Amino acid sequence: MSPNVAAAEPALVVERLDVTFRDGAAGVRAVRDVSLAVRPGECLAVVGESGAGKSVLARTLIGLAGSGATVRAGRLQLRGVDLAALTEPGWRALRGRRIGLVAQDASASLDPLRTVGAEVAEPLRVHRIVAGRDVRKQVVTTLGQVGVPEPARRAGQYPHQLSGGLRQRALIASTVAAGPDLLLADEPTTALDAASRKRIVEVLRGLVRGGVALLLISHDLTTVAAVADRVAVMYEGRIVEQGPTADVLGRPRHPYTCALLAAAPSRQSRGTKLSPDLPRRPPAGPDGCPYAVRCPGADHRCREQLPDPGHPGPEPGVLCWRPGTEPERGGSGRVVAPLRRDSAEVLVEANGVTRRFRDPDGRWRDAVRAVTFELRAAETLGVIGGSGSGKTTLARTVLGLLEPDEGTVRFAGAPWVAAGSAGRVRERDRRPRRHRIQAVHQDCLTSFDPRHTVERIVGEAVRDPGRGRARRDRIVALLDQVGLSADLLRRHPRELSGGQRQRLAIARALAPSPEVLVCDEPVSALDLTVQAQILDLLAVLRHELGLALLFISHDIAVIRHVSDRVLVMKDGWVVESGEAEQVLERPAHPYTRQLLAAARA
Amino acid sequence: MHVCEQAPATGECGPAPGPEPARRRAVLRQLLRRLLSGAAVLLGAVTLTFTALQLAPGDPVAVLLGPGTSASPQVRAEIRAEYGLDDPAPLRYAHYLGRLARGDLGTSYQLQQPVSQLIGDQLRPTAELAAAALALTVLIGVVIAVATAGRRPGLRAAALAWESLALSVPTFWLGIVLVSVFSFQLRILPGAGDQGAASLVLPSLTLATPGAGALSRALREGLEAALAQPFATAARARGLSPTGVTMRHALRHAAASALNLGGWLVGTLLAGTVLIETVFARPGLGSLTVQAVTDRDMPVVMGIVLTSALVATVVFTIVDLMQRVLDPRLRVEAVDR
Repeated sequence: MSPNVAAAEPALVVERLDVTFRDGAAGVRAVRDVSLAVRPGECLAVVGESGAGKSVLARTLIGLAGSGATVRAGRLQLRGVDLAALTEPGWRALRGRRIGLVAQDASASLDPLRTVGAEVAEPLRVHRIVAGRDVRKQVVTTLGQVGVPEPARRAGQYPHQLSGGLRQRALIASTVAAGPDLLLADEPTTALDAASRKRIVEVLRGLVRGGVALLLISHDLTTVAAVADRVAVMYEGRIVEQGPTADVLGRPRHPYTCALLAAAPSRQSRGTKLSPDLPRRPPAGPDGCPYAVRCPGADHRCREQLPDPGHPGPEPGVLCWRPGTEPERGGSGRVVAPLRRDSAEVLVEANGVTRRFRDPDGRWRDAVRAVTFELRAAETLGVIGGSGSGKTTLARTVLGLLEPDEGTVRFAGAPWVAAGSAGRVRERDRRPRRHRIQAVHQDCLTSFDPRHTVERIVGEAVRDPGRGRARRDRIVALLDQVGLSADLLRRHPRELSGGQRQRLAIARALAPSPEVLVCDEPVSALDLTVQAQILDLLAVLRHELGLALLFISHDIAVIRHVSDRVLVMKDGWVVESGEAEQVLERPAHPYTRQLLAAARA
Repeated sequence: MHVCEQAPATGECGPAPGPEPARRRAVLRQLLRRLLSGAAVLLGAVTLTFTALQLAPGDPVAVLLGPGTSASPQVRAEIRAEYGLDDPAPLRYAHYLGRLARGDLGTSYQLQQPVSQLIGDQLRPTAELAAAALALTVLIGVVIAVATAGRRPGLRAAALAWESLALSVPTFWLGIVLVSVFSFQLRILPGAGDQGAASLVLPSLTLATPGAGALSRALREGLEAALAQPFATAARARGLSPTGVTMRHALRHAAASALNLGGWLVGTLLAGTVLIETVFARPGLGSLTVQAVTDRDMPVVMGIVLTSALVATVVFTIVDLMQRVLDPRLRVEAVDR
């Protein structure tokens, strides 16, 4: 933050904001007592786990909290406009013009039936910012500003014709076209690969330099560190710590911030647990600290009352009586010993696998080209690469769901899939062995039948489940293995949290007692805290069951944390492979170096 | 450790769309395929009606001569020869196809007029009725769906009740009720015949009701699904009003899904005209159908069946092409991903 920014009047001032949702008789307080300010040309990042109230905060600030929400605030001002007193038409005049919202999930936030240009033009037309004949020119200029190459051509294209990174840039263009004072960006870099993320970070930085006040919501600490001037940490609707980015991320004071940062996989985290153990602690009273149940340092006072955010406790900006309490590392950082043996049996053996697809224009494209690798029992092979590099096609081929156009895959010493020329393997011959190789996907919600209960989802995957009690006991044991309680048996997937769903997906994959687990971006849709729990769970299962993992991710920190060996993919090629340490510490291929650099950005 | 030397080192890769000529070729190929499949459907309909005619019980000569007429075997043989009834079936099929290709649907046994002329004469009133009913269906369906989508539960419940009623009420009964109220009691609209626009109101309203019910339900479901999508929130965040989001974004999504009803709708309308024309004593293809079936006038029945098949094929082709206009994701060939 430059000195003249520090002196400027805040663009947005929020004081003592409360947002309550009606839920039966009692209300759910999604945002509690939140105070913050963002100056023009400044970025404030709000971090925290899913359900902390970050998105509700963003939606409240653009007047879209929903009809079920009650908003109360001491002060809620945007450049002198009292937002708390606005009626719906008043809000409408501000939305898109003075306040922009980059909603979560760019692929769904652009109307698939309209061109990108029409979406970017919408705020210009609605607010009559420029004359009708100049709209197109302005659209192309705005797309160019957010780094969309060939903006004139891209404006005429539909969202499905753009890559994920371009879609995100187009969405940002649609929110900044009218030149808003305040930009609310909700997880703008989540689910993007490192290279696209880096470009979005540059776009956001450029906007902030241009004088926009940016409220960035993210659980991606790399992005936060790269863009934000200040950071606010949210937990259960409250801001528990707020301060300059370097301080909050470098010297965290609130126990929750410490735990959040410890959950991020890092260079040093390999082989250690990421998530703290959660022994049962007495819950806090109604006025107590919400983190007391999880906090190792919580005492009687913490459970009784919170420090007043107006007059903070022992340290300014930290909502805690005992700042600096370190999280308990599971068994003080218990190391999950690697159990890989070089002499172990080779389970999956891919040889020159190539798979082509036909592009919409009729041309053939090699999604996977001449890929060769081995996966041994009890080892984890990480596959890293940008989106579109062929990772998922490779996974589907290894699972025997796609037939390669060239090459073969052998599983446990016998042919598994093969190109027609190499002696095709029939599905009938694969089926008896299918239970030995299972999959966990990124979007597990769509991989469950929404009408099935947890019991049925797991039960269906168990081989020879027996009946009645025996079957039930087997299912409960599987749920227990992944840390799910038997109370969930009758629930439907939609009623579970993201973390619970991913645990359920793992339980289902483990049900037929596989030897290989193919994990395709299993933690990409999860926040840091839950990601840490799932990574720890996979590590424990690997250790206990001796599973071999083919682990696909675009997140280099996650790959570094889990992998014994690594494949780096680009445009269908494996450009580099080898021991994880060697490839990630001393990369030989320029693309690997580029990936590592982008991840550090 | 292995490092691949072949692969490109750096560079941005996004799915770049192909060159325009290739895209245009793909679109043309798709259009051609659609037209060919339409032609195949028509040929199937022709073959089915021909087969049905062959299998139909009764002697065509008896029908030609009319009931109660007796003719000598010699006269009968002459008639059989004149109509080619003694030729082998494949030959007759070939002749039949040849005549159809020239637009000749044969001659009515009963009225001794070309079938194409009979149908042509009756086409106008039926087409008017069907077009008016289709317009009313779309109008009522869209207005009710837009007015009730995502609104208060009471309003939605009322709309749902109306839709269930509209779908389940028998059309002939509805027609009789409308006639007795508006023509016999209030005397504001004619209840029968074909004299100008006023005489179209009651029959087209009757005919439109079930379709309007189905359409408004389908549209509302589509609207509500679209309004729940993140892009609807994004549009609100750009300053659009709820109605603006419905009209600019959601309606197109709802229309794309409701368009699937289009084929069914036109089929229902065509079938419905038979009843409605009888109830309202209107001329048209419906009355012609009833008469032809009663008289066992097979060339006329077949002509009507073929005309309906032609209309249905054209409608389905248009619906299919409209889908592509509405949803850009369908415009290129589906890709195996």
